[in-house]
Amino acid sequence: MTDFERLLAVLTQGRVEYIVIGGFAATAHGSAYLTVDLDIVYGRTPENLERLAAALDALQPYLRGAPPGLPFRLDTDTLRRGLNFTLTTTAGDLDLIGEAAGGGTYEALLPHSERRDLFGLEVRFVDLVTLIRLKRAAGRPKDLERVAELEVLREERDRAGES
Amino acid sequence: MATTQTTGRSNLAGESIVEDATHASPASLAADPTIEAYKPGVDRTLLRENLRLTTTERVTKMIAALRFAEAVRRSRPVSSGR
Repeated sequence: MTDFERLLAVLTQGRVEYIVIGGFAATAHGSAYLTVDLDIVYGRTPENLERLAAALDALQPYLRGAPPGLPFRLDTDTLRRGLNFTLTTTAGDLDLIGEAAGGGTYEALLPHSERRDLFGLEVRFVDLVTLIRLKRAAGRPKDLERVAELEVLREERDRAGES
Repeated sequence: MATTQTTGRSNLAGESIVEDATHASPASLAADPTIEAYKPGVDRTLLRENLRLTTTERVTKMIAALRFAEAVRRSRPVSSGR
């Protein structure tokens, strides 16, 4: 099972610029669905790629679903040449997203993010409206129920006066 | 890194949330009939309960549910001994 706290601690303590999106962000906003992996949009500056590669090195990142023994090393070059990576690590499954469907680069999402205290860490999450937009843009049939739940969550949040 | 204006708000649990809102998200989303069709099936009581929790409490609750689901998935029938 994914150790979310450890993954977030490694990223945060490594001073990686990232924004949590996907199911885990939905949980942070109050969704009742379960999620098994951590999805982050990461900054693509050379400095951040270095920080990301260094931070994840201790977690032995490997391509999820790839055959064992396939040569793979997640270093700065690998990150620069790729964009989105679905990884398995010693702390669980982690998706690194350079650009989410709907135009979600780190720089584009930053103004639509918010910082929340989680496990004593300051973690940056995409805001609820933008999360809904990203999930709508992904256009996956499996997300329809989840988008509906997020929209109802937003209605309930606004009704309760949290905004 | 982009520069942003910082504003803050609190959630229902009294937790402080810092927003970086140079370009605040639009307040409205166009209604999608397919998504609207799913809304009556959403359990609002669960959401209201979660909205009263802090972010850490929401995540901790989800992880506990994941652990329970994992335990159920790994369970095996108990032999009746007959």
